[in-house]
This record gives sequence, C-alpha cells and structure tokens, in this order.
Amino acid sequence: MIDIQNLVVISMLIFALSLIGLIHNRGNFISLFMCIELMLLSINTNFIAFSQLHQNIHGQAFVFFNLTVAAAESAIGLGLLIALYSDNPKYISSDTLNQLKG
Amino acid sequence: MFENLGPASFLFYSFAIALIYSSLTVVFSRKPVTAVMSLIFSFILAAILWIFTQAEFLGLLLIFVYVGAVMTLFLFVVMMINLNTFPTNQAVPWGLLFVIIPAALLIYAANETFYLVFKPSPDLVLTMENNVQQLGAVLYTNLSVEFHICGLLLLIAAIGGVSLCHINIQPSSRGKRQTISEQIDASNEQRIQLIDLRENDD
Repeated sequence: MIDIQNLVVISMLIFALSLIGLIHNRGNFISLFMCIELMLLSINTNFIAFSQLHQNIHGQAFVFFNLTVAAAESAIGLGLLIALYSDNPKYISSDTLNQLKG
Repeated sequence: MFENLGPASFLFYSFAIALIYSSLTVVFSRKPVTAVMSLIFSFILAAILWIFTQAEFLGLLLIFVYVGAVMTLFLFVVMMINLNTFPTNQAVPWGLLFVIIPAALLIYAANETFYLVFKPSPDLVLTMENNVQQLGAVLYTNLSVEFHICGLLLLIAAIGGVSLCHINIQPSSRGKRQTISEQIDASNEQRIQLIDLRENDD
C-alpha cells in the first residue's frame, strides 16, 4: 500500500518548487499567482497525508475549507489581473500594481 | 523507498513523477498558456494521488470544482490578456539561495526523520466504508459554523471580483482612478450641504 511518507515528501518537493518559483518569477504577476496555487495544492496534499496518518477526518474537512479560500483567492487575483490589464494592456507586471490605487 | 514495488505503488510513483514534472513546467515555463495547462495537469495528478490515499471525495471535488471552474477561468483570463511570452529577468537570482536552503531542509525533514516524529496509528486502514459520509458527518455538525463562513467568504470574493473588474464607462478614464487635483481642490462647501430643518417646521 501507499506509504504516507512518500506523499509528504512529494508535497514538500512541490512546496519547495513553488517557493523557488515565487522568488524566481517575482516580477511576473501571473506566474506568482500560479506558484501560490501550486503551494496551496501542496499543503492540501500534506493535510490529506496527515489525515490518513492520524486517522482523523478533520484534516480532510480543513482541505475543504482551504479549497474555498483558494477559490476566493483566485477570484480576487484574476480580478486584479483584469484591472491591471485594463489599466495598461501592454505591460502587466507586479511593479505596476501601485498604479491601481484610488 | 522502492522495495516491494507492486502495481499500485508503480502507478503512484508514475503519477508522482508526472506531478513533479508538470509543476516544474509551471514554475519555469516562459509561455503563459503552457504554464496554465500544466497547472491544470498537476491539479488532476494531485487529485489522483489524493484518491490513492483514500480521500476520494476531495479528489473528485478538486477535479470537478477546481479544475472545472477555477482553472478554466484562469485559462480564459490568461488567453484574454494575450501575452505571448513572460518577460525574462536577466539578473542573477540571488534570492534563490535563501530559498533553496529552507526547501532542502523541508525535504530532508520529510524524508529522513518522518517516522521518528510521527508515529502511525496502529490500524492504517480507514475504518469507515464511505469517505463522503464521514466528511459530511463532520462538516454538517461540528464544523457547520465554518461551513457557513465559507459561503460568506465566497460571496465576498464574488463581490470583490465584480468591483475590481467594474470599469466606469467614461470617455477619458480607463477604470476607477484617483484624480488628485480634484481631491486637493475640494472644499468644505462642496462636500457638506447644511439644511436647516427648523425652517421647514411651519
């Protein structure tokens, strides 16, 4: 059967990868956003692994809430992306986010 | 790690390697649509891994709701803003050094010292027959307040998304903007209109 440790190692690998991606693509709004999504996915995997390890269903319930928060976050982030695009269609970067105030 | 490699573990490792490859593509791809497509692919593979660890409901929820709705929306937005390639950053990413060391520590901690810290329960097979039933029994009783808060959160996110994307149709302005000169020129007389209610009494 599946060893829980392998799942934790895989989720930590993906978390580390998305952490590296956050630093590597820090000027790039879309890529930052995708790295955050990947990070949420990896911590959800971690929650499910430990829910299985401790035989406790509350971990899976927490993953449910995490998915809700991730959906809300992506709705807001895509709204920000559209606002950035309508502000300046040629140049979309996280450096120009301060032009959105007001 | 690779002792007693049965068919189930073979499938598990294949999906895991594909998951790591597609998340590498998400992080290091230069093309936005490729990155979003491999993000969708890695979500599907992660859902398969969740189903392997007997979290069937959440795996299917991830595929149906998250991939079907949220990631498709993401793909539409990225296609709509029509970027060909991401801008490349030329500088040497020194910040990577400060990330790789904690990342390597995380992986080491998960790999080497896992069973020294976490003792598995004596029976590692889940006792209930139905994952959906058990999740619902927790979600609708103990965690019902949090469940309602999730609905409120989604409502607020919908309002926020609409108010961010809402554009004033005016000839000179793109979107909601701050006009600092008008704000400085404003005076008290423009802001407050005092109405004497006593005159209207008779």
